[in-house]
Amino acid sequence: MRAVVLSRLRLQWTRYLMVLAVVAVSAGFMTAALGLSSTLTASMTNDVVAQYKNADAVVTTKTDATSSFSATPQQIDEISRVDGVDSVWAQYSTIAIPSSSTVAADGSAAPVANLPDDPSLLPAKIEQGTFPNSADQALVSESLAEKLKVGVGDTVSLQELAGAPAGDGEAAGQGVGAPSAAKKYSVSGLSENSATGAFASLWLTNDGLTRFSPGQMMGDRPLQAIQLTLDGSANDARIQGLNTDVARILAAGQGEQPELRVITPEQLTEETIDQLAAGSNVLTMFLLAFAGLSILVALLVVTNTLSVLTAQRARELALLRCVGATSKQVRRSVLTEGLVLGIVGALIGVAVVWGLAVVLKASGLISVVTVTVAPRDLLVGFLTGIVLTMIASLGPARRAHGASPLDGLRGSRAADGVPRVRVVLGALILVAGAGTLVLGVAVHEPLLGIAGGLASFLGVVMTARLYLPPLVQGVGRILPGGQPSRLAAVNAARYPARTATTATALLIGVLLVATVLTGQHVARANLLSELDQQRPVDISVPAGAGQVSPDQIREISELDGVLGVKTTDPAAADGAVAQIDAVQSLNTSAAAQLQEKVAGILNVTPGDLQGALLEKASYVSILEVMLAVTLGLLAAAVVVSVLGIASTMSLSVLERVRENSLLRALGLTRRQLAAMIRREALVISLVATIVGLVIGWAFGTLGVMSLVTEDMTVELTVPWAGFLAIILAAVVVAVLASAAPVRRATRVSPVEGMARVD
Amino acid sequence: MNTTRTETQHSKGLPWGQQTQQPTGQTQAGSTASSPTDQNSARHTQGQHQQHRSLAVVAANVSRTYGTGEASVKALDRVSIEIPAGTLVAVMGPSGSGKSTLVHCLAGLDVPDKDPNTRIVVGGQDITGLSDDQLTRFRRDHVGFVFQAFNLVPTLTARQNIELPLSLAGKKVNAQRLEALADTLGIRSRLEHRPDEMSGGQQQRVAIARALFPEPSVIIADEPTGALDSTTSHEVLGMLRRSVDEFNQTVVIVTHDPEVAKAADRVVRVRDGRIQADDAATGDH
Ligand SMILES: Nc1ncnc2c1ncn2[C@@H]1O[C@H](COP(=O)(O)OP(=O)(O)O)[C@@H](O)[C@H]1O
Ligand SMILES: [Mg+2]
Repeated sequence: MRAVVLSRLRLQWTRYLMVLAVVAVSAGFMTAALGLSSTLTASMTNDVVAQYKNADAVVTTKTDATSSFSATPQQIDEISRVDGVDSVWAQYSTIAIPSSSTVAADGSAAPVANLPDDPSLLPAKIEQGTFPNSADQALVSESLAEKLKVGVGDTVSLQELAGAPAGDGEAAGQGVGAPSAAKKYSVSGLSENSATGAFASLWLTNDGLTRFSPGQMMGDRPLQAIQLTLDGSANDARIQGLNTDVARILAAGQGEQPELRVITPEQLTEETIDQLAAGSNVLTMFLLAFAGLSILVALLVVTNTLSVLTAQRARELALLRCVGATSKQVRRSVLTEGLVLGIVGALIGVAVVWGLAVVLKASGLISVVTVTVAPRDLLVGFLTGIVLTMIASLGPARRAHGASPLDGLRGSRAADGVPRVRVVLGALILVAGAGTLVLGVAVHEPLLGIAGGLASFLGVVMTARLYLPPLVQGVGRILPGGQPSRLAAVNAARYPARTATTATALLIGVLLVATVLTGQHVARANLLSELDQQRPVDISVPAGAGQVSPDQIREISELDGVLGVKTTDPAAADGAVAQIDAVQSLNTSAAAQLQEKVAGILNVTPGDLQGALLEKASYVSILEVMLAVTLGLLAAAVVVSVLGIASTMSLSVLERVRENSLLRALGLTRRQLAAMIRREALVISLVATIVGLVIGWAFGTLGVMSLVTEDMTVELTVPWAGFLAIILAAVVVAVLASAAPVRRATRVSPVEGMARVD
Repeated sequence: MNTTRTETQHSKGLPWGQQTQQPTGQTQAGSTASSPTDQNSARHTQGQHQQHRSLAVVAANVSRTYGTGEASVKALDRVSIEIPAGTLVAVMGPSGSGKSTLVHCLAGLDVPDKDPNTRIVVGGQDITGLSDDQLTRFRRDHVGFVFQAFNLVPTLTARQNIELPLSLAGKKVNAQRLEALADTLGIRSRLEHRPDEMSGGQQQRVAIARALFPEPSVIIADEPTGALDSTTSHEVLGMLRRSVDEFNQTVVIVTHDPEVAKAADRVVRVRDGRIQADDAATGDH
C-alpha cells in the first residue's frame, strides 16, 4: 500500500501543490507568529543585559535588574578590595542637552553615563578614536556625533536639563529651573550606537561626570548596578562568597537599602527572559489567535482538496479493494498520504520562515530588534502543519473506508448530503449569537457584543453549506454570457459540498476583513464627529501671533485640508485671533504638515498654534495602525483561501477533461472554454465576497454600537472604497486562481481529451 | 459558406421541418473574422460544386503522424476518400489501424500533417488549414458526433444536450422540431432527464438526436454501438439507417460489427493507415 501512495504522490505531485502551499503558509505563519514574540522577548532582554555583557558578575537588587540602590565611594572602594575582585564599575547616569560649535541645542536630551575605570568593561565598542583619559574628554556615540556634526578632537557642550531627574541633593543645591552653565568636553572617540537605547550616547570619566553634575558621584546616588570583573572564572562558590561580602559592605536590607545579590550576566539573561515571557504572553496569544484563524481556513481548504482527490480516485481505490486491499488498508493509504503531505508542506513553510529570519538578521536591516526564531517556534510550526493535514485527512479517509468497491468501479458517486447535525447546531449558535450581539448593542455591553459576534461568526460558517450553493447557482444564472456562462453556473453548483467549503474559506477571510474595515470606519466617523462637536476649532491662532492679514487668511484657506478660516475677536473666549477648520481624516503626519504650513504663513513656530487638530489626528493614526496590523494578520487566512479556490478549480478541470473535450468537439471554442472556467471561479469568489461583506458590515457596525456609551448614537456608514477594492480583488483573485486550470484545459486537444481514461 | 450550406440542406427535406437559423452577433462576428479563408474556400468549392454536387465529404492525400523521430507513428498514410451525400459508410479494420484518426480528420477534430496536396472538403467547405477557432465553428455547423461512450454532458438534461451545438453557436432552438425528433427516436419522455438517469441505449439515442438536430453535412459515429447489447445496438443502427434513407443524411460509422457493415451502403476497410478496400456493401437495404 505504501508503494501505491508514494507512487501516486510522485506521479501526480502537481495535484498536491496547492495542499503543500496551504500547509506551508499555515505552518510558516505559526512559526512567524511565535518567532515575532520570541524576537520581542529577545530584544527586550538584550536591552536589559547588553550593558552587562563584559562583566563577570553584577550587583543588582534582589527584585530585578532595573530598580536602584545606593553605594558610597567608600563602600565601592571596599568592594574593589574584596579578594578576587579585579575592577569595579558603579554605573551612574543622567541626561544632558548637547550642542556643538555648529549645531545649537534643540532641547532634546541625550543620556550620559560614567565610564568604567577598566576600559574592557565598557559594553559599547569604540568605533573611532580612544577611550577618554581625562575629566574634560568625552566618548560620543556615532549618531549623536553625526547630529552635532562633530568628530574626534572637536568640542561638545553639555547643559544640564532644568529640573532634570538628577537627584534631590543637587536639585536643592542648584535650584530648579536655573540651569548651570554649559560644560565643554573634547571628543576623544566615537562609540557604537545603541538602537534600543541600552547604551548612553555620551560617556564621561568619573571625574568628568562630577564636573558636569557635581552631585552625581557623591554619596548615596541611585545606582542600578555595580559591574565587577574577577580574577579567574566566576564559579558558583565565588559568586556565593561575593554575595555575602557585598551584602555586608552595602548593608543590604538595612534601612533604605533594598536586598541585594551578586549574579552572573548569564543568570541575569535567563531571569530577564522569564520575567518578560509573562508580559509577552498577551501578545503571543493575540498573534496565535490570528494564526489559529488561518489554520481554520487551511483546514477547510485541505479537507476539501483531499476529499476531491479521494473522490476522483474512487475507481482506483475500488480496484485496489477488488485485488485484495482491505478497507482498513485503503483508509490507511489516505492517512499516509496526509502525513507525507503534512511533513513536506510543514517543512517547506518552517524552512522558508527560518531562512527569512536568517537573511533578515544577516542583512542588518532591522537593528532595533534582535531577530530570533527559537527552536520551540520551529517545532510548533512544524507540528501545526502535520496535525492540520492529519485532521484534514480524517474525513476523506473515513469515506474511503466506507465506500463499496462496486460503487467505485461503476464510477457512481455518493450524493453530497447536507450535514444535518452541523447545520442545525450552526443555526442554533447563529441565532443565539445574533441575539447576544443585539442584546450587547441594546445594553451597550462590549463583552456581550464580542461574545455574540464570535458565536454568530461560528454560526455563519457552520451553516454555509445551506445557503452558499443555492446562492452560487442563483448568481451563476443571472451572469450574462450565453451557453458557456450557463454551463459555468451548473458546474459551480455541481458538488455543493465542495463549492460550499471553497467559498466558506474565502468567506471567512472577507467577513473578518469587512468587520475590521467597517468597525474602523464607523468608529472613526463617529469618534471624529463627536470630537468635532466638542472641540470644533482645529487650529486656533493665539493673540501672541499678532494680527492676521487678509492675504494670510486667503493663503491659509487655499491649503489642502483646510475647510475654512475666520478671524475672531481676541477678547473672546480663547483669546484667538483666527480659527481654522480642517478636514477630519488627517493622520498625525498630515496634520503636523498642515500645522507647519499654517505656521509658516503666519511666521510663527508650529508650537505656538493651538487647537484640536493634533489630538484628532492622533486618533485617526491609532485607528489606521490598528487597521493595518489587523489586516496584515488576516492576510495569511486570505492567501490560504485563494489557494483553496485555485486548488478546487484545477482539480475540477482535471476531472472534467473528457467532458470539456466533448464540448469542444460539439463546438465550444477555446475562448468559450476559458470563459466557462473563469466564470465558475468568478461566481464562487463573488458570492463568498458579497456574503462576507454584508455580514462583516453588520458585525462591524453592531460591534461598534455595543462599544459606545448610551448617550452616543452611531451613525451608519459603509466603507465603500474599501468594499469596492475587496470586490475588485475578488474578481482578480478569480481570474488568477483559474489561470492555471484554464491554461491546462485549453491546451488539451479534443481528441486527446476524449481518449483520456482518467 | 452559407450559400453552399443551404444548397446541401435543400436536398434533404427533413420531415421535422426546415430549421430556422438565427445567427447571433457572436457567430456573425466569427464568420466575418475568418472571411479571407472563407472566401477562398467558397470560390474553391463553388468551382467544384457542379461536379461534386452530391459529395458530402471529399478528402485527398490525408496523412497523420503522431510523435516525432523514431517514436513516430503514421496513423494515416495519404488516404483519399469521397463520400456522396445521403449514404451510410462503414469504416472497418483492426484495432489501431487508423479508423478513428481518419474520421477525426474528416470531422475537423484532428488536423492532418501539413502537405500542399492534402485537401478536406466537408459540406462544400474546405477545412484544410483552418485555425482552431474556425474548425470549432465548422464542427458546430457541419458535423454531428456520436461516440462510443461519454457522449453527453452529465450536468445537462437530454433536451439541453440536444440543444447544445446550437446554443453554443448562439442560435435559437425550435422546441417543436426538437420534440418531433425526440418522438421519432423514442426519447420524448426522457427529455428532461439527466444522462445518469438513462440507460446506455437511451443515452446513445439522445446522442443521435443531438447529431441529427442541427442537420449537419455529415454525422460521424465512432463505434456508436460498441458499448451496447445486440438488441439495443440494432435499434441504434436502425435509426442511423433511417436518417440516411428518409432524411438523406450522410453518416460515417466506425465499427467492428459485421451487422453494421451489412446495413451500410459502402464499406471502407482500413489497415495500417491506408485504405485497403472500398466496396459497395452486399447488404440488403
Ligand atoms: N494521440 C496519439 N498519440 C500517439 N499515437 C496515437 C495517438 N492516437 C492514435 N495513435 C496511434 O495511431 C494509430 C491509429 O489509432 P486509431 O486511429 O485510434 O486506431 P483505431 O481507431 O483504428 O483503433 C494507432 O497505432 C495508435 O496507437
Ligand atoms: Mg478507434
